[in-house]
Parts: sequence; structure tokens; C-alpha cells
Amino acid sequence: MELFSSEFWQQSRIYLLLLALAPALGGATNFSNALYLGLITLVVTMAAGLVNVALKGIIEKEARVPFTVIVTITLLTMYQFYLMIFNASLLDELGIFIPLAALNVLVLRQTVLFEVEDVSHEFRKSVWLGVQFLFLLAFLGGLREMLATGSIMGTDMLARNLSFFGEPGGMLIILGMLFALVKAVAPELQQDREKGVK
Amino acid sequence: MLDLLYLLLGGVLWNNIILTQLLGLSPFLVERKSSVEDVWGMGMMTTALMTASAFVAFLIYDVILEPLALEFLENIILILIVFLLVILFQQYKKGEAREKRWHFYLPDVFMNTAVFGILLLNMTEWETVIEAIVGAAGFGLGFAVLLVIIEAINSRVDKLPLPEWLRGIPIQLITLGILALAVSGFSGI
Repeated sequence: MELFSSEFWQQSRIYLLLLALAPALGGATNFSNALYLGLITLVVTMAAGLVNVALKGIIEKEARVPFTVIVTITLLTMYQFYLMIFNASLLDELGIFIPLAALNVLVLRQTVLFEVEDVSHEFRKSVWLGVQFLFLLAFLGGLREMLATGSIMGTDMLARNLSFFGEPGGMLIILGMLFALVKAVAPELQQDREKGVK
Repeated sequence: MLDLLYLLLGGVLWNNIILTQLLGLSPFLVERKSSVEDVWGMGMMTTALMTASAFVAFLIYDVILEPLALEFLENIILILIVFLLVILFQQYKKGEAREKRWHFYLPDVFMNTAVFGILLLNMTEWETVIEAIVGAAGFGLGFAVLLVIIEAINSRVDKLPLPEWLRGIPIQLITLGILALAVSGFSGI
């Protein structure tokens, strides 16, 4: 069974990053939550990549996607137990977005490691994507917090605040505006779709 | 009976999983050429997947996990159920003529965080099997209706004299944001 065709992973970096936002956007209500979600995604992406590299050649083709997902979700469940004991308030705030990180496209992309020859190059590429994702998510979360409450982590930034940016609709509008800005400033960014992620 | 109707309508309007939780956004973040029929088919497929997984997950949760105090395995079991059902759906769809197009949508349907998300959110909320089925069908219908609305709006927006940098995903996301604000008006009902 092939869930992802190999062309699927040839999409440009900006599309992969946008798709990676899908499971995390709802949890990025403020700067610190967004930072936590980005870090969690980065760590599980690296962990899934390392496990996949270690077991290269052992896992059958059909089992690659479920294997990666189950490794990831086990790690995330363990992290949930850790939070349950040491930081229950963070667990309440992030809620279902911790287990949802297992369906992140960056994690699923690690199945590519089973196929490629140059493993270290591919692994570094995925870590770099994860770092970019972390910055993007933290930026979006920070922007949302700043516009909705007028301050970031207690530091006042704006004289006025628009509370509607704190709602889900506000987040979608922020993301749309940001993407329009990216398109206006660097139109060539999304044209490297055929060339793949560099 | 009225409760079930409330559950179904809530999934479509004021509890819409995309507009209130921002789950299942992936179909809106990819630019592609499609028609209203295509997205309706994809929405119906997701609805069927949600309903089936809610049914199976509720039974397993109620019969196996809860009596044996194994609730901590919830995440792993739920994601396995979703995955197995996606495989079953794929086998079932294999013979059809539109298989190629369906294959194109498959990553979207599997990565659709809404399917896994509604299970995680509602596993302890639903009290009976009927409630689970109706509730999941409501969330699925909400997703399908939203896909069709956005597709229909897009086909009109394409004809407008917009600047190039606003076309495609940016205007799609802004439209979705405005829709989300409109739907939040229902939440007082």
C-alpha cells in the first residue's frame, strides 16, 4: 500500500511548511505555546528520522508510514505523561495538539529516509525544515498574541489591541496576509515546485 | 432526538471543526485545480471515514480500553484505527474509474488532522454509539460543506481583477477567516 507517491515529497519548501502548519495552527494561541509546539515537532521529527535510519532495510515498504507514525505518537504520549506530572497547566493549554504532531507532514516526510542513498544529507534537510517550521510557528504565534492582547509575554508592544485576532478566524487572516506578503516580495519562492526542496 | 439534531447541526455550524479548532486545514493550504464535484466527493469520503472511525473507536474504547483501565493507550489505538480504515477505504475504491483522482487525494485524507482530532476531542464526550456516529457525521458534513463553499467562492474570485500576489492560497485563507468570524455568530444558540 502506498499512501504517498514519491512526487508528493517533491513539492517546494514553502508548500511543505504550509502543510506542516495544519496540525499546529490551532494550538499556537500565543508566543510560548507556539514555541513549545514547534520544539515538540522538531524533536519528534529528529527522533523519527533517527529511528528510521537505524531500522533502514528492516521495515517493509507497506509498513513505513504506520511505523513512523507509531514511533512518533509513542514519544508524544510519553511527553504527555511527563507534562501530567510536572507541568499540568501547559498540558491543558496544548491539549490535543501534542498527539496531533504525529500527523505533521514533516514527521511523515521522514519515511523518505528509508529510500534515499545519502541519508545524512536528507536528515540534515529535514532538521533544517523543522527549524524553519519552529521559527515560522513562533512568529505566527507571537504576531497573534501581539495583535490580540497588545503585548508579548507580558511586555507591552501596541497601544491598542484587536481581540478578534485571538479567535481562529483572526489566525487564518494573519496567515493569509503573511502568505500574500511572501508572494509579493519573493514570487519565485513558490515556482520551485518541480525542483523540489533544496 | 432533539439532542441528536443539535449534535449534527452543531458539527456543521457552531462547532465546525475547521473554523473553531483550525483542524483539517490541509486541503485549504494546497493550490490545485478542482471542481465542486471533486471536493464534494472528497468531503463525503472524509465524512464516511470520520463516521466509521468514530463507530469503531467508540466500541473499542468502551468495550476494551475503559474496563481494563487502558485509557493511556488512547492515542496509539485511535491513530491505528484511522490508519486501518484509510487502508480499507483505499482497497474498496481500487476498482473505480476515478481511482487516480482518489489516489491524488489520499495523503490529504490521511493527514487530515480533523479525523484524528474529533476522536481525541470527543471520545469522552460521546455517551452512546448513536451519539458518536451522529456527532462524527455532523463534523464530517461541516467539513464537506465548507470545502464546497470555499471552492464555489474561489471560482468567482478567480474572475475578479485581483493583484497576482493575492491570488490562490492568500485570498483562500482570508475568505476562510472571514467565514470563521461569521460562523462564530452562531455560537450563542
